[in-house]
Amino acid sequence: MGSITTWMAAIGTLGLLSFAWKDNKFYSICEHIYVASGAAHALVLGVKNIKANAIIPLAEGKLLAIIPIVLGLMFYARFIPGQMRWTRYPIAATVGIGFGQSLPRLASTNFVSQIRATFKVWSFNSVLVIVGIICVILFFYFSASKRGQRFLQYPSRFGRIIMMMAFGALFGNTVMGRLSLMIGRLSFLFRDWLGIVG
Amino acid sequence: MLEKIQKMDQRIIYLVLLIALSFPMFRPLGLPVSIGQTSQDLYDFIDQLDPGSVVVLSIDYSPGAAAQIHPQTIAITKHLLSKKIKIVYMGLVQYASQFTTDAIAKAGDYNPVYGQDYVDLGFKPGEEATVSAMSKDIHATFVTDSDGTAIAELPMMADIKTASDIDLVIAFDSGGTRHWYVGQMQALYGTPVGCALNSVNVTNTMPYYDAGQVIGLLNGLRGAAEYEALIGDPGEATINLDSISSGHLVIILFILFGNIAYFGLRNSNKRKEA
Repeated sequence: MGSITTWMAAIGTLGLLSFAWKDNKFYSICEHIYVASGAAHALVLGVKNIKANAIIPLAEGKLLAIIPIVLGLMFYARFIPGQMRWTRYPIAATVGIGFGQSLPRLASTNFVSQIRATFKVWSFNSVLVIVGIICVILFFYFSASKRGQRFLQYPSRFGRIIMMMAFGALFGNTVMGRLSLMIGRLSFLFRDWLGIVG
Repeated sequence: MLEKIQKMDQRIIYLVLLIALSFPMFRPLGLPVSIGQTSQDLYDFIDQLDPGSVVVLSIDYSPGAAAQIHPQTIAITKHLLSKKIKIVYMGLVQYASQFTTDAIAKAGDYNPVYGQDYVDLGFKPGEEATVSAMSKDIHATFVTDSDGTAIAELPMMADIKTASDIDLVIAFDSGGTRHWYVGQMQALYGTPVGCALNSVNVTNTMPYYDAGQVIGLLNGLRGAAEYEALIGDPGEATINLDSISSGHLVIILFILFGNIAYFGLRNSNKRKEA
């Protein structure tokens, strides 16, 4: 029947699944324990990260570590009345670094490479992709009325169908994912906890 | 009747689904596993790597997604160890080391030696900046492994210093880390990237696969079962695949009944109004 940790996990699983029947006290208790343990885990890891990435390098004489430490501490200025403005500097640094790092990547991987790949192989699929992209863009073209203008109306309608198909694929994958999660829990209950299946 | 179907208590649906998912665990249906092209491509790429090649496994999933992705980690670990490929485990999500330890323990009798056959660099915060930094200098980014041992002291890491020394990166991803690997490693250094994903992330990763930016990918528990079939070592995912199939069947039937009830009711209301 498993160890004490298996029992704890099994009781937590049953408690959280009981919400499918209706909201109840057992569910609330399990939910609170889950949130509390998650927060505690994140706190411990946060302290560990500060130690590994700030305190130890500083202790080893890497004085440049002072810059991110000071920027990090400035985030807490929001808790000092009247000193909120100091939080703008670390936010500006974070946004600037993040933007500078991701912009070239986005342009290259999500735009240029995709366009290049679309035109590389002339197959039915690549033609469908090109037609689909144009039609979906036309669906979101709002600068002219589509009513009565067939050259806008029909492609726009086809664009909507293409999007519906994409949403269908996304939904199908989501369903499969959610079922897998449920199977994971059932497998744990039947195999690891109760040991009634091989 | 149609109205009853429309207003069916959702708990009945849960119950039927629960039975459909549980039944195959007690009486396996033994449905065949067909291999998808994306899984086959990932397998083929790994299979053609020479012994001694270096593969980075980025363990970037949380316990919530483990049911789908962890069997993939175990299956790929088995394949890599059987080919004597060196594995560098790391993670951009905080649970990386727990999953790494479990995957190595469940990988079988290959008895890999730590520091020679595999290393665990553990979790590193910093998200995309970490991927960018490690592409330039792994030793400066991960100064120590997950246990605090200096990575300079690990024999395997002596020749693994930049993205150019890596033969393949696989992002085991339930969030968005694959985008960083494709952008910072594949695009800038040409390092091949593979993905092992939870199902919900597959649709928006397919454009990378179609464009050749990702060499192959695994789709959730099904992808794990496909990989287990490819390496000829059926495991947890294969056993659970029957449950997925019967669950899908039940959902398709519910969608069908729901739509029949909806359109039937709408038509009868129209007829009444006329």
